[in-house]
Amino acid sequence: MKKLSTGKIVLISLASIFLILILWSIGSYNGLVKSRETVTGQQANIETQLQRRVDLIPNLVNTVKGYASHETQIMTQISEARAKLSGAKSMSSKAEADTELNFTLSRLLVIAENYPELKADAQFKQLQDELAGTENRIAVARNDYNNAAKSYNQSIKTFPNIIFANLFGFSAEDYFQAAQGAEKAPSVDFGK
Amino acid sequence: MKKSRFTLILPILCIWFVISGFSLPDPTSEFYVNDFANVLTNDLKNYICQKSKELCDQTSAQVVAVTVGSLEGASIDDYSLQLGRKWQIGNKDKNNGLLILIAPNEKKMKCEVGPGLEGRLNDAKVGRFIDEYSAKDFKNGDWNAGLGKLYPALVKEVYAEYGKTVPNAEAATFAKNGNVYKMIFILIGVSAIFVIIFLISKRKNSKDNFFIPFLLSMLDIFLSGRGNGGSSGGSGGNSGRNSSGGGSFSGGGASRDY
Repeated sequence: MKKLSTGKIVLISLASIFLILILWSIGSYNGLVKSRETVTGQQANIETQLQRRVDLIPNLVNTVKGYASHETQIMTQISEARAKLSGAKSMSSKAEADTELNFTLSRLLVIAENYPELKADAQFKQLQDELAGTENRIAVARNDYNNAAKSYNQSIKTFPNIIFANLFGFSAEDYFQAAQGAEKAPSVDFGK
Repeated sequence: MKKSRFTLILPILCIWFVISGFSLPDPTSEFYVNDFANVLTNDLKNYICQKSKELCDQTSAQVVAVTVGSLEGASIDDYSLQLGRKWQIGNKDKNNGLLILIAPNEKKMKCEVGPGLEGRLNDAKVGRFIDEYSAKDFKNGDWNAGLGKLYPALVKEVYAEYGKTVPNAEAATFAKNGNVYKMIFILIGVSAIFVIIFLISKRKNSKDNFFIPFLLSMLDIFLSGRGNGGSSGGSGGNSGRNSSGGGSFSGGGASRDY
């Protein structure tokens, strides 16, 4: 058997290394895409549930108005929080608006305690169930989203995926998480 | 060797406990009813087992009733979600599971509805059903009676979701116990007729033994016709989950705190 020249050996090994690298990057790229798609899917889930809640609120406000029309302050706050949620773009600002809405809604339910007729209203009861269910769904979707985002973020930040992530422009996803203190956002005067 | 394996497993166990926070039970062999808190009667358990199996055969939807002794500090929403996901109630593609969870000691209950059934059983409706059918019993701590009334109403809705009606709907009035006696009387009556036919055929000469095959075929029809009901006696062998499975949940449904 004829001996290979040094140049050929170098060439062959370079070519095979190159081939391995290509295969490796394809695998890594596909894995990252898949993981990012999971995150996007979960994100869509959250948005569906947030929208669901936004849609429920006009009904709720109208029902409450029928019994407690003079509670205008809380109504305004709810409408504002709702508008803020509809307008929110990034994950964190959505989370913030959602927390704010949570806060005002729970305050509304406290106020409703003072209106026995409202509390007994069939429509109000159903809306309460819908709101509670939606809130729970949001909590579940948030949890699922954050888990997916976490595993995606971890994978693009660890070796060797970090190389390909940088190369192909995969960036980290926001967590669905309100900024510290956001739960106190609307200043409510309890004295009133 | 043993030690090294243990040191490997221990951190994993620790992590698992930290993540889940509470431990979830595994389903018993009777997948559709799991009375861990011992508050349900055998009649109701058999009824649910049979009805849920029938429902799953017809629609692939699964309705499971569970009572637990303790929620181990978890919220009922969280517990029921995790339990439904762990047991994979409902069809994998349709996610049409429904879990009725009762925690008698905490005086809480929740209907966890899979996304595939939410169209028919939205949160408001489920909440209304609980209030209408079972609130009184649940408030009095009669979980068995409350579940006995709530369960058929929910099952009916699930059938409706698939454009079907509940087969032999009269069985839905089960709680009154009368049907069981009726069944026994029918059974005794039918067997008496067979015995008479058998005796008549015996008295005649074996030559025209036309009655025996007739009797056997009748018996066969009778037995196969009763096949579904016959298993209601809680026979562990085939009361476990049949087809379907793999379903997930997304947090829909309604809960009550009494």
